[in-house]
Amino acid sequence: MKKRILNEMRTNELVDAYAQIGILQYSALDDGKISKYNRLYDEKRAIEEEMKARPGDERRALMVLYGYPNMQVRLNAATATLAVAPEPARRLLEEIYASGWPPQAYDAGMRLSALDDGTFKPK
Amino acid sequence: MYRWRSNDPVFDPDLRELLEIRAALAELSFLVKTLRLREAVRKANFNPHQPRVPRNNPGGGQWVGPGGIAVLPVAFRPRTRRPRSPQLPPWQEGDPPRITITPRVPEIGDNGGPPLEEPPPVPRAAPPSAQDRTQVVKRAAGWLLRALRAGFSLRARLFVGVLEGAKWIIDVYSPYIMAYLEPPKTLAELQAAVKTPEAGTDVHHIVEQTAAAEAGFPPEMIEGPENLVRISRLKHWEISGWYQRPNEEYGGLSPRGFLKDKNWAERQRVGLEALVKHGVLKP
Repeated sequence: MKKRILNEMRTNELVDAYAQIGILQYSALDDGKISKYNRLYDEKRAIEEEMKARPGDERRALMVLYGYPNMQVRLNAATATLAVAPEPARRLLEEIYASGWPPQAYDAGMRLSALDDGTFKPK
Repeated sequence: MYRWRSNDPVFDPDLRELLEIRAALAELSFLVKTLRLREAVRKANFNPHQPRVPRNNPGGGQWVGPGGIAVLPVAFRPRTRRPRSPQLPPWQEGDPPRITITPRVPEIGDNGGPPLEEPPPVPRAAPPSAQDRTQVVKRAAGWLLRALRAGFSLRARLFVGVLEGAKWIIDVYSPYIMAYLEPPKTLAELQAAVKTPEAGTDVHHIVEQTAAAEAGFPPEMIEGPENLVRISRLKHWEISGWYQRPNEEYGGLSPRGFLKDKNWAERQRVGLEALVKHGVLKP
Protein backbone atom coordinates (compact mmCIF):
# COMPACT_ATOMS: atom_id res chain seq x y z
CA MET A 1 0.00 0.00 0.00
CA LYS A 2 1.42 3.36 -1.01
CA LYS A 3 2.38 5.84 1.71
CA ARG A 4 0.37 8.58 0.03
CA ILE A 5 -2.77 6.46 0.28
CA LEU A 6 -2.06 5.61 3.92
CA ASN A 7 -1.66 9.31 4.71
CA GLU A 8 -5.17 9.94 3.47
CA MET A 9 -6.84 7.12 5.39
CA ARG A 10 -8.76 7.66 8.61
CA THR A 11 -7.75 5.73 11.71
CA ASN A 12 -10.66 3.30 11.53
CA GLU A 13 -9.86 2.63 7.87
CA LEU A 14 -6.29 1.84 8.79
CA VAL A 15 -7.49 -0.54 11.50
CA ASP A 16 -9.77 -2.29 8.99
CA ALA A 17 -6.97 -2.57 6.45
CA TYR A 18 -4.70 -3.89 9.19
CA ALA A 19 -7.20 -6.62 10.06
CA GLN A 20 -7.61 -7.57 6.40
CA ILE A 21 -3.86 -7.95 6.03
CA GLY A 22 -3.79 -10.27 9.06
CA ILE A 23 -6.53 -12.42 7.54
CA LEU A 24 -4.60 -12.66 4.27
CA GLN A 25 -1.42 -13.53 6.18
CA TYR A 26 -3.29 -16.31 7.98
CA SER A 27 -4.43 -17.75 4.64
CA ALA A 28 -0.96 -17.39 3.15
CA LEU A 29 0.51 -19.40 6.03
CA ASP A 30 -2.26 -21.96 5.71
CA ASP A 31 -1.44 -22.33 2.01
CA GLY A 32 2.31 -22.46 2.70
CA LYS A 33 2.88 -19.26 0.66
CA ILE A 34 5.77 -17.73 2.60
CA SER A 35 6.67 -15.06 0.03
CA LYS A 36 3.07 -13.82 -0.05
CA TYR A 37 3.08 -13.69 3.76
CA ASN A 38 6.31 -11.68 3.66
CA ARG A 39 4.90 -9.15 1.17
CA LEU A 40 1.90 -8.68 3.43
CA TYR A 41 4.25 -8.23 6.39
CA ASP A 42 5.73 -5.17 4.68
CA GLU A 43 2.23 -3.76 4.15
CA LYS A 44 1.40 -4.39 7.79
CA ARG A 45 4.57 -2.58 8.89
CA ALA A 46 3.70 0.38 6.66
CA ILE A 47 0.36 0.80 8.42
CA GLU A 48 2.02 0.53 11.83
CA GLU A 49 4.56 3.21 10.85
CA GLU A 50 1.79 5.48 9.58
CA MET A 51 -0.17 5.13 12.83
CA LYS A 52 2.93 5.61 14.95
CA ALA A 53 3.79 8.82 13.10
CA ARG A 54 0.39 10.39 13.75
CA PRO A 55 -0.06 12.74 16.73
CA GLY A 56 -0.39 10.79 19.96
CA ASP A 57 0.73 7.52 18.35
CA GLU A 58 -2.48 5.97 17.02
CA ARG A 59 -1.26 2.38 17.32
CA ARG A 60 -3.32 2.14 20.50
CA ALA A 61 -6.38 1.99 18.20
CA LEU A 62 -5.25 -1.49 17.15
CA MET A 63 -6.23 -2.75 20.61
CA VAL A 64 -9.79 -3.10 19.29
CA LEU A 65 -8.48 -6.10 17.38
CA TYR A 66 -7.47 -7.99 20.55
CA GLY A 67 -10.70 -9.98 20.41
CA TYR A 68 -10.72 -10.52 16.66
CA PRO A 69 -11.66 -14.08 15.67
CA ASN A 70 -8.64 -14.54 13.41
CA MET A 71 -5.52 -15.57 15.33
CA GLN A 72 -3.03 -13.82 13.04
CA VAL A 73 -4.92 -10.54 13.42
CA ARG A 74 -4.75 -10.91 17.21
CA LEU A 75 -1.05 -11.74 17.08
CA ASN A 76 -0.31 -8.74 14.86
CA ALA A 77 -2.36 -6.39 17.06
CA ALA A 78 -0.65 -7.61 20.24
CA THR A 79 2.81 -7.18 18.73
CA ALA A 80 2.06 -3.75 17.28
CA THR A 81 0.80 -2.39 20.59
CA LEU A 82 3.62 -3.70 22.81
CA ALA A 83 5.24 -0.26 22.80
CA VAL A 84 2.07 1.68 23.66
CA ALA A 85 0.21 -0.78 25.91
CA PRO A 86 2.87 -3.22 27.14
CA GLU A 87 0.88 -5.07 29.79
CA PRO A 88 -2.33 -5.92 27.89
CA ALA A 89 -0.31 -6.62 24.75
CA ARG A 90 1.93 -9.05 26.60
CA ARG A 91 -1.08 -10.72 28.23
CA LEU A 92 -2.56 -11.32 24.79
CA LEU A 93 0.72 -12.78 23.52
CA GLU A 94 0.74 -15.12 26.52
CA GLU A 95 -2.85 -16.15 25.76
CA ILE A 96 -2.01 -16.86 22.13
CA TYR A 97 1.03 -18.89 23.12
CA ALA A 98 -0.94 -20.84 25.73
CA SER A 99 -3.66 -21.63 23.18
CA GLY A 100 -1.15 -23.74 21.23
CA TRP A 101 -2.76 -22.56 17.98
CA PRO A 102 -0.22 -23.34 15.25
CA PRO A 103 1.62 -21.50 13.85
CA GLN A 104 0.62 -18.21 15.53
CA ALA A 105 1.12 -19.67 19.02
CA TYR A 106 4.71 -20.58 18.10
CA ASP A 107 5.38 -17.04 16.86
CA ALA A 108 3.92 -15.62 20.07
CA GLY A 109 6.15 -17.94 22.10
CA MET A 110 9.29 -16.85 20.29
CA ARG A 111 8.28 -13.20 20.73
CA LEU A 112 7.80 -13.65 24.47
CA SER A 113 11.23 -15.30 24.74
CA ALA A 114 12.81 -12.38 22.91
CA LEU A 115 11.03 -9.91 25.22
CA ASP A 116 12.20 -11.84 28.29
CA ASP A 117 15.84 -12.09 27.27
CA GLY A 118 15.89 -8.42 26.24
CA THR A 119 16.72 -9.01 22.56
CA PHE A 120 13.37 -7.50 21.55
CA LYS A 121 12.67 -3.96 22.71
CA PRO A 122 9.40 -2.74 21.19
CA LYS A 123 9.56 0.80 19.81
CA MET B 1 -36.73 -33.65 21.53
CA TYR B 2 -34.55 -31.14 23.35
CA ARG B 3 -34.59 -27.71 21.74
CA TRP B 4 -31.52 -25.66 22.44
CA ARG B 5 -31.93 -22.01 23.35
CA SER B 6 -28.84 -19.85 23.71
CA ASN B 7 -30.15 -18.34 26.95
CA ASP B 8 -31.03 -21.69 28.51
CA PRO B 9 -29.59 -21.54 32.03
CA VAL B 10 -29.15 -25.32 32.22
CA PHE B 11 -27.54 -25.50 28.84
CA ASP B 12 -24.72 -28.03 28.65
CA PRO B 13 -21.86 -27.04 26.29
CA ASP B 14 -21.25 -30.71 25.43
CA LEU B 15 -24.87 -31.03 24.36
CA ARG B 16 -24.52 -28.01 22.12
CA GLU B 17 -21.47 -29.55 20.50
CA LEU B 18 -23.38 -32.80 20.02
CA LEU B 19 -26.24 -30.99 18.31
CA GLU B 20 -23.84 -29.20 15.98
CA ILE B 21 -22.14 -32.47 15.18
CA ARG B 22 -25.45 -34.17 14.47
CA ALA B 23 -26.16 -31.67 11.70
CA ALA B 24 -22.69 -32.26 10.26
CA LEU B 25 -23.23 -36.03 10.43
CA ALA B 26 -26.51 -35.79 8.51
CA GLU B 27 -24.64 -33.96 5.78
CA LEU B 28 -21.89 -36.60 5.75
CA SER B 29 -24.43 -39.42 5.66
CA PHE B 30 -26.01 -37.92 2.55
CA LEU B 31 -22.59 -37.63 0.92
CA VAL B 32 -21.73 -41.27 1.71
CA LYS B 33 -25.01 -42.50 0.23
CA THR B 34 -24.38 -40.54 -2.96
CA LEU B 35 -20.86 -41.95 -3.25
CA ARG B 36 -22.10 -45.52 -2.71
CA LEU B 37 -24.71 -45.08 -5.43
CA ARG B 38 -22.08 -43.77 -7.83
CA GLU B 39 -19.78 -46.70 -7.03
CA ALA B 40 -22.61 -49.20 -7.61
CA VAL B 41 -23.31 -47.66 -11.01
CA ARG B 42 -19.63 -47.80 -11.93
CA LYS B 43 -19.41 -51.44 -11.00
CA ALA B 44 -22.52 -52.35 -12.98
CA ASN B 45 -20.37 -53.30 -15.99
CA PHE B 46 -18.42 -55.82 -13.96
CA ASN B 47 -18.53 -59.34 -15.49
CA PRO B 48 -17.15 -62.11 -13.27
CA HIS B 49 -17.11 -64.52 -16.27
CA GLN B 50 -14.81 -62.33 -18.36
CA PRO B 51 -11.86 -64.55 -19.44
CA ARG B 52 -8.42 -64.09 -17.85
CA VAL B 53 -4.89 -64.96 -18.99
CA PRO B 54 -4.14 -68.48 -17.65
CA ARG B 55 -1.73 -68.97 -14.76
CA ASN B 56 2.03 -69.39 -15.60
CA ASN B 57 1.66 -67.26 -18.74
CA PRO B 58 2.94 -63.70 -19.11
CA GLY B 59 0.30 -61.46 -17.59
CA GLY B 60 -1.30 -64.45 -15.83
CA GLY B 61 -4.48 -63.50 -14.03
CA GLN B 62 -5.11 -60.33 -16.06
CA TRP B 63 -8.52 -59.79 -17.61
CA VAL B 64 -8.67 -60.49 -21.35
CA GLY B 65 -10.52 -58.05 -23.57
CA PRO B 66 -12.49 -58.71 -26.75
CA GLY B 67 -10.47 -60.77 -29.26
CA GLY B 68 -8.38 -62.42 -26.57
CA ILE B 69 -6.09 -59.38 -26.05
CA ALA B 70 -4.83 -58.77 -22.54
CA VAL B 71 -6.34 -55.57 -21.17
CA LEU B 72 -2.97 -54.49 -19.81
CA PRO B 73 -0.17 -54.14 -22.38
CA VAL B 74 2.50 -56.88 -22.33
CA ALA B 75 5.17 -54.25 -21.78
CA PHE B 76 3.51 -53.12 -18.56
CA ARG B 77 5.95 -52.78 -15.73
CA PRO B 78 5.01 -51.82 -12.22
CA ARG B 79 6.40 -48.42 -11.22
CA THR B 80 9.49 -48.57 -9.09
CA ARG B 81 9.78 -46.16 -6.20
CA ARG B 82 12.91 -44.26 -5.39
CA PRO B 83 14.37 -45.15 -2.01
CA ARG B 84 12.89 -42.78 0.56
CA SER B 85 12.01 -42.64 4.21
CA PRO B 86 10.34 -45.82 5.45
CA GLN B 87 6.66 -46.22 4.72
CA LEU B 88 4.04 -48.42 6.26
CA PRO B 89 2.34 -51.15 4.22
CA PRO B 90 -1.16 -50.20 3.00
CA TRP B 91 -3.73 -50.32 5.73
CA GLN B 92 -6.18 -53.25 5.48
CA GLU B 93 -9.50 -54.08 7.04
CA GLY B 94 -8.87 -55.52 10.49
CA ASP B 95 -5.54 -53.70 11.00
CA PRO B 96 -5.39 -51.54 14.11
CA PRO B 97 -6.32 -47.87 13.54
CA ARG B 98 -3.39 -45.77 12.42
CA ILE B 99 -4.55 -42.45 13.81
CA THR B 100 -5.35 -42.54 17.49
CA ILE B 101 -5.84 -39.49 19.64
CA THR B 102 -5.63 -38.97 23.35
CA PRO B 103 -7.98 -36.37 24.84
CA ARG B 104 -6.02 -33.78 26.77
CA VAL B 105 -6.68 -32.93 30.37
CA PRO B 106 -7.69 -29.23 30.27
CA GLU B 107 -4.91 -26.88 31.35
CA ILE B 108 -4.61 -23.19 32.04
CA GLY B 109 -4.66 -21.42 28.70
CA ASP B 110 -6.87 -23.96 26.98
CA ASN B 111 -9.85 -22.40 25.20
CA GLY B 112 -7.78 -19.20 25.03
CA GLY B 113 -7.95 -19.18 21.25
CA PRO B 114 -10.68 -18.10 18.89
CA PRO B 115 -13.61 -20.45 18.16
CA LEU B 116 -12.58 -23.65 16.43
CA GLU B 117 -13.19 -23.31 12.73
CA GLU B 118 -14.80 -26.00 10.58
CA PRO B 119 -12.49 -28.93 9.82
CA PRO B 120 -10.65 -28.70 6.51
CA PRO B 121 -11.99 -30.61 3.50
CA VAL B 122 -10.50 -34.08 3.04
CA PRO B 123 -10.82 -35.46 -0.52
CA ARG B 124 -11.42 -39.22 -0.63
CA ALA B 125 -9.15 -39.53 -3.67
CA ALA B 126 -5.56 -38.34 -3.40
CA PRO B 127 -4.96 -34.97 -5.10
CA PRO B 128 -2.72 -35.39 -8.14
CA SER B 129 0.24 -33.30 -6.96
CA ALA B 130 2.42 -34.03 -3.94
CA GLN B 131 2.13 -30.38 -2.92
CA ASP B 132 -1.66 -30.58 -2.80
CA ARG B 133 -1.54 -33.86 -0.88
CA THR B 134 0.78 -32.50 1.79
CA GLN B 135 -1.36 -29.35 1.98
CA VAL B 136 -4.39 -31.46 2.87
CA VAL B 137 -2.36 -33.35 5.47
CA LYS B 138 -0.87 -30.19 7.02
CA ARG B 139 -4.31 -28.63 7.38
CA ALA B 140 -5.78 -31.82 8.81
CA ALA B 141 -2.98 -32.24 11.36
CA GLY B 142 -3.12 -28.56 12.34
CA TRP B 143 -6.89 -28.69 12.80
CA LEU B 144 -6.65 -31.87 14.90
CA LEU B 145 -4.04 -30.29 17.14
CA ARG B 146 -6.14 -27.16 17.59
CA ALA B 147 -9.27 -29.21 18.30
CA LEU B 148 -7.46 -31.24 20.95
CA ARG B 149 -5.89 -28.14 22.50
CA ALA B 150 -9.31 -26.49 22.68
CA GLY B 151 -10.84 -29.58 24.30
CA PHE B 152 -13.05 -30.63 21.36
CA SER B 153 -12.10 -34.29 21.62
CA LEU B 154 -15.43 -35.51 20.25
CA ARG B 155 -15.02 -33.42 17.11
CA ALA B 156 -11.43 -34.59 16.85
CA ARG B 157 -12.54 -38.24 16.98
CA LEU B 158 -15.18 -37.61 14.31
CA PHE B 159 -12.60 -35.94 12.13
CA VAL B 160 -10.31 -38.95 12.50
CA GLY B 161 -13.25 -40.97 11.15
CA VAL B 162 -13.33 -38.68 8.10
CA LEU B 163 -9.57 -39.14 7.63
CA GLU B 164 -9.99 -42.92 7.81
CA GLY B 165 -12.35 -42.63 4.85
CA ALA B 166 -9.46 -41.27 2.77
CA LYS B 167 -7.30 -44.37 2.32
CA TRP B 168 -4.49 -42.40 0.69
CA ILE B 169 -4.01 -40.49 3.94
CA ILE B 170 -4.13 -43.58 6.14
CA ASP B 171 -1.74 -45.54 3.90
CA VAL B 172 0.93 -42.88 3.50
CA TYR B 173 0.35 -39.88 5.72
CA SER B 174 -1.01 -41.22 8.99
CA PRO B 175 2.56 -41.33 10.46
CA TYR B 176 2.93 -37.62 9.61
CA ILE B 177 -0.17 -36.83 11.62
CA MET B 178 0.71 -39.09 14.54
CA ALA B 179 4.24 -37.65 14.75
CA TYR B 180 2.78 -34.13 14.65
CA LEU B 181 0.50 -34.83 17.60
CA GLU B 182 3.27 -36.27 19.77
CA PRO B 183 4.03 -34.40 22.99
CA PRO B 184 7.42 -32.69 23.46
CA LYS B 185 10.46 -34.85 24.27
CA THR B 186 13.83 -34.27 25.90
CA LEU B 187 16.83 -33.28 23.81
CA ALA B 188 18.48 -36.65 24.57
CA GLU B 189 15.40 -38.50 23.28
CA LEU B 190 15.26 -36.44 20.08
CA GLN B 191 18.99 -36.91 19.48
CA ALA B 192 18.91 -40.66 20.17
CA ALA B 193 16.05 -41.10 17.68
CA VAL B 194 18.21 -39.83 14.79
CA LYS B 195 19.65 -43.33 14.27
CA THR B 196 16.20 -44.89 13.84
CA PRO B 197 14.42 -43.87 10.65
CA GLU B 198 10.71 -43.50 11.22
CA ALA B 199 7.91 -42.71 8.80
CA GLY B 200 6.52 -39.19 9.13
CA THR B 201 9.70 -37.79 10.69
CA ASP B 202 12.84 -36.02 9.47
CA VAL B 203 16.31 -35.42 10.80
CA HIS B 204 16.37 -31.75 11.74
CA HIS B 205 19.47 -29.59 12.18
CA ILE B 206 19.25 -27.47 15.32
CA VAL B 207 21.63 -24.97 13.71
CA GLU B 208 20.29 -24.59 10.17
CA GLN B 209 22.30 -26.74 7.79
CA THR B 210 22.56 -24.62 4.62
CA ALA B 211 22.95 -21.30 6.43
CA ALA B 212 25.70 -22.77 8.65
CA ALA B 213 27.55 -24.20 5.65
CA GLU B 214 27.33 -20.84 3.86
CA ALA B 215 28.76 -19.15 6.96
CA GLY B 216 31.76 -21.49 6.85
CA PHE B 217 31.05 -23.74 9.83
CA PRO B 218 32.75 -27.15 9.40
CA PRO B 219 30.66 -30.19 8.38
CA GLU B 220 31.69 -31.96 11.64
CA MET B 221 29.73 -29.36 13.58
CA ILE B 222 26.77 -29.16 11.20
CA GLU B 223 26.36 -32.93 10.90
CA GLY B 224 27.57 -33.69 14.42
CA PRO B 225 25.31 -35.73 16.70
CA GLU B 226 24.74 -32.75 19.00
CA ASN B 227 23.23 -30.76 16.13
CA LEU B 228 20.85 -33.46 14.90
CA VAL B 229 17.41 -34.38 16.21
CA ARG B 230 14.60 -36.48 14.77
CA ILE B 231 11.29 -34.61 14.74
CA SER B 232 7.89 -34.70 13.07
CA ARG B 233 8.21 -33.87 9.38
CA LEU B 234 5.30 -31.42 9.57
CA LYS B 235 6.94 -29.64 12.53
CA HIS B 236 10.20 -29.62 10.58
CA TRP B 237 8.42 -27.78 7.77
CA GLU B 238 6.79 -25.36 10.20
CA ILE B 239 10.12 -24.49 11.80
CA SER B 240 11.71 -24.04 8.36
CA GLY B 241 8.82 -21.70 7.49
CA TRP B 242 9.36 -19.74 10.70
CA TYR B 243 13.05 -19.25 9.82
CA GLN B 244 11.98 -17.61 6.55
CA ARG B 245 9.37 -15.17 7.90
CA PRO B 246 10.32 -11.64 8.98
CA ASN B 247 9.31 -10.71 12.49
CA GLU B 248 9.51 -7.87 14.93
CA GLU B 249 11.87 -9.44 17.46
CA TYR B 250 14.57 -9.58 14.79
CA GLY B 251 14.03 -6.00 13.68
CA GLY B 252 11.88 -6.95 10.70
CA LEU B 253 14.38 -9.55 9.49
CA SER B 254 13.69 -13.25 9.21
CA PRO B 255 15.45 -15.39 11.84
CA ARG B 256 17.60 -16.73 9.00
CA GLY B 257 18.59 -13.21 7.98
CA PHE B 258 19.16 -12.16 11.59
CA LEU B 259 21.45 -15.13 12.29
CA LYS B 260 23.51 -14.69 9.13
CA ASP B 261 26.46 -13.07 10.92
CA LYS B 262 25.96 -14.73 14.31
CA ASN B 263 28.21 -17.29 15.98
CA TRP B 264 27.42 -20.97 16.52
CA ALA B 265 26.23 -20.50 20.11
CA GLU B 266 23.66 -17.87 19.13
CA ARG B 267 22.39 -19.99 16.24
CA GLN B 268 22.12 -22.97 18.57
CA ARG B 269 20.26 -20.94 21.20
CA VAL B 270 17.69 -19.79 18.64
CA GLY B 271 17.43 -23.29 17.15
CA LEU B 272 16.72 -24.87 20.53
CA GLU B 273 14.25 -22.14 21.46
CA ALA B 274 12.40 -22.74 18.17
CA LEU B 275 12.12 -26.44 19.03
CA VAL B 276 10.72 -25.61 22.46
CA LYS B 277 8.21 -23.06 21.23
CA HIS B 278 7.04 -25.35 18.41
CA GLY B 279 6.16 -28.00 20.96
CA VAL B 280 8.88 -30.47 19.96
CA LEU B 281 11.39 -30.09 22.78
CA LYS B 282 10.57 -30.04 26.48
CA PRO B 283 11.46 -26.67 28.04
